[in-house]
Amino acid sequence: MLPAIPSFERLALNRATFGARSVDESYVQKIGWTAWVEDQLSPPAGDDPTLSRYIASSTMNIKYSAKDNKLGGWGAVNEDRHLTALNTSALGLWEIYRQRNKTLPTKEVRRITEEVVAATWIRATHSAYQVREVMANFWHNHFNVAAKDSLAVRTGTAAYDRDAIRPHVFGNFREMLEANATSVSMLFYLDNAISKPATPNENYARELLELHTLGQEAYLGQVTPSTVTKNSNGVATGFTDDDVITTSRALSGWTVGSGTRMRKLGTLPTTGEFHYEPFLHNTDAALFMGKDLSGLRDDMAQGRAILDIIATHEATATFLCTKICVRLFGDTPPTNVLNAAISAWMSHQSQPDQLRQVMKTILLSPEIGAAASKVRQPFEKTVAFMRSVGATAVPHRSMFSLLRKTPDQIFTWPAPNGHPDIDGYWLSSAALITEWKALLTVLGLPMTGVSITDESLATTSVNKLVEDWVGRIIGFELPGTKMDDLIDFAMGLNGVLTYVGQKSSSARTVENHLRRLVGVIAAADEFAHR
Amino acid sequence: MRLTRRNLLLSATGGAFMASIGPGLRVSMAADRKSDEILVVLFARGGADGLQLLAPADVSSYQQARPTIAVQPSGPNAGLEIANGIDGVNFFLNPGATELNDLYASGDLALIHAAGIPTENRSHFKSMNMIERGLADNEANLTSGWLTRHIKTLTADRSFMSTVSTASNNPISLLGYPQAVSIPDVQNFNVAGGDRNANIIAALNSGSSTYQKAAQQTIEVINTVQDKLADLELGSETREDSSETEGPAYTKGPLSGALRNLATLIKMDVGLDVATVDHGGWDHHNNLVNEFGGQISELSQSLGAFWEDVSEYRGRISLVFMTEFGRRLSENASNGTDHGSGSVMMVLSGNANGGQMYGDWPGVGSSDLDNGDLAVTTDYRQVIAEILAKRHNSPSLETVFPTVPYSPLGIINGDDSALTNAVVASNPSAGCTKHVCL
Repeated sequence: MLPAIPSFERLALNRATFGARSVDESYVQKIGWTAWVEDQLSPPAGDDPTLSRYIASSTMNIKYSAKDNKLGGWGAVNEDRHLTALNTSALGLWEIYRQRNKTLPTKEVRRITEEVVAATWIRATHSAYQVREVMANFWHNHFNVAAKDSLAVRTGTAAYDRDAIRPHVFGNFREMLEANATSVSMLFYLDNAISKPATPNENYARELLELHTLGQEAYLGQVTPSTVTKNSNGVATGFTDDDVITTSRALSGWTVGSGTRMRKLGTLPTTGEFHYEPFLHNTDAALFMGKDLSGLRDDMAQGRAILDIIATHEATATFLCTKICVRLFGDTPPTNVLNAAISAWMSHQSQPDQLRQVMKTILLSPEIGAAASKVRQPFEKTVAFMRSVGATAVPHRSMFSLLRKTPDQIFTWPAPNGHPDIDGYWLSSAALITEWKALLTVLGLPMTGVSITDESLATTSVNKLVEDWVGRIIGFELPGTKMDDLIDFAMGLNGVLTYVGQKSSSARTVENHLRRLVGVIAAADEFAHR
Repeated sequence: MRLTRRNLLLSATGGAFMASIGPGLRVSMAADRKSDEILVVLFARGGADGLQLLAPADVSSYQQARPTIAVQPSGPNAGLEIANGIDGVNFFLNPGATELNDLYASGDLALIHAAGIPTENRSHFKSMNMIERGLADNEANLTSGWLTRHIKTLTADRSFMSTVSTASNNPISLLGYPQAVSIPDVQNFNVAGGDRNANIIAALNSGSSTYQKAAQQTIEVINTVQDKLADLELGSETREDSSETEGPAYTKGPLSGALRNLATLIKMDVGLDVATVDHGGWDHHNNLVNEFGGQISELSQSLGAFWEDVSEYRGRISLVFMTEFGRRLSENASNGTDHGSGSVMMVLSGNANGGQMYGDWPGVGSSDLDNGDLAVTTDYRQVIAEILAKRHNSPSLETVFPTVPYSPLGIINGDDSALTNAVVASNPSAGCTKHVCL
């Protein structure tokens, strides 16, 4: 018999992971939620050993034909290659970019991002350190970078994931912010890499303040800065367009060692990573949110001063903690959890484990196990489904197209704000149709390896089979007539009847029909929420 | 096949038909018109550079401010000079806008310059968010989209397919209207695996949570679409061949995809009367000439092909093109432009008084600019309000745009006599409770 309602552990795990499995539920019931959280918040620097081995041994095909050109050209390639970009240095990645259309096709640049996306699917599905994966996903969306923007942005994505996001997930926000501001992908995505001293480019400066830190609520428009109220540290309570201009000046010169010759200014070195270039720096930055930066003359000092101010601003604490709580709890997170998170954020501002403390506060709040309050979005829902049926994520091109109609996977949202994290946004017909299609087709695609036949309960009863799968995928009994409806549906599938010994179909039909059964279970309302 | 003026004139139907009816008959058709009229909102995302789309190319301040990227008044690759400009200035469409030029000359396209949102801010997200909720600076916050409020003033029964977004998700202008359906690809609009899967999914979502309601609506819409699409395809197979052997000249780009999709939905005659279309990619902080050229070409060709595709419906369609803001007059050092203010709005309709420009030209001399930007002299809501009143029998604009008096520019023909309380009452929040309207 299935429980009538989900357990605390299942509800809490569904919030804190990419989907609770029965085995996780039992494990947490054994060691206790607090112990589980403590362990999750102290992951090793890299992946857990099993996952590490799996990624190291994974391959994904790359294929292209030969080409002759005047710059070297390349031979035909058709290989099942390891995910080598994940561990390639910044300079190594940049070399791929430099050789594009000379001795390498642009496919090799695209491959870099594809490997990161594949690794993301694998880690979300299989990592033992699920909270880190959930938060890496959060921070990627917060500091969204659109790979389609340019090949230069794509080139940097492996280092972006590996060096700018993942190591900081339980670290210090100020450090994460500078890692982000000096990342190749962000520098190209929001144009700061090409900002020039005569007319500094405002794109990154604006989004740094409005999207990455202080937030839209703190944006005051074109008001005169001197009229803005100041907090007890003499810092303005909000930012103006003048502050954006100041920031663009302060950050000019924060660029990439791309080897580019900037006419009349000079040539950048070729390092493939962040490079501060004095000849690109505009020295006119003065007032930022009430603070005078004009006396700061050391390299990067003005930009760093701005990062100091915005990283420790109360508007940033509120904006970011709200986003984190919305990610976990839905459109209206519990006020006490939010306030506790803001408090933890502010009081650990200078600690190297500031974000760990924030996550600990949130995850150990009693509300973490409250009734489901958020609609699952397509990527997390597909991963949760794969986890609950024991599917293996296999690097394959079908990973990139599965959710193409909803821009819900890493590097695909086309604007710097990241995809909206509100329920209403994901309840459109197209989102639902795409999700259902993903659930009903993913197990048959090369991106997953699983035999639902092998995973299913050995039984001669359709009722027991259905009940067992509902227990694994949903975790509790479906209300009303839903269980009966499912059993009726299952009994209409020859493959299911064959499985329980009542008919005789091919093994392929058995597998297809069992996949269909688990797919529709995952389309139920009860799986749609966490 | 390129859209030519000749093709446009030959296939014009709706506009000519309507014009031949006397005023009395027009009024009596008002009740039917409410469900016949189709409003299409085409939003150019990123801040479309109105001064590149429709340039005052022979004004010296314009040329001096954009030495690298300015549209040229003459020479190879010159802009397309249009007739009936405003305030004695010569305006040139971007050279890539051939089809728009044809639509303008045919009288179906009206151009409004220096239009936009009265605001001080230059943020995509804030501007889009405000525009789509129908707000300007210092106005009471509204948590619904303007299209939502408009739809709620209409009293006719609305079918499930009345309101469609061609993007994967609904835009903020439809915020608060969950019945809006997004159909980015009508040909593939179904549940994987067919009816049996659809039925069990419906059964597993038979309750009343928002997710379940969305699921039920989705399946119902799918069934309707499949039926209608089948009818349409049957119809096109049996229709006699016209003199054209090719279909409309859509491109392979995203806007063509969306508009072709929309045209199919319109031709399915499912009661669609509000559609939203997105065209992204207009945020040209750098390399504007190359990137904008691609954008304008996609926009122009796609609209041209769409207008040909819906030739039998032109008298019922009002398409309004808008963007969240224009771009700075001066080019930046990356050969692009940063966020600005006033830009171009367009209205494409069989009922448009097209072939002319509207608005007040503020000028691009240094003393004319708004902080370096082309100023906004026409509030975007004024343009939209006229369409809602004259084509969609809007009975109460003050709930849609509480702070904007009704003041039509004459962009479109129609009967706005259904509009009551046309002049806004002294209380700008009339029709709203506290800070929330509908």
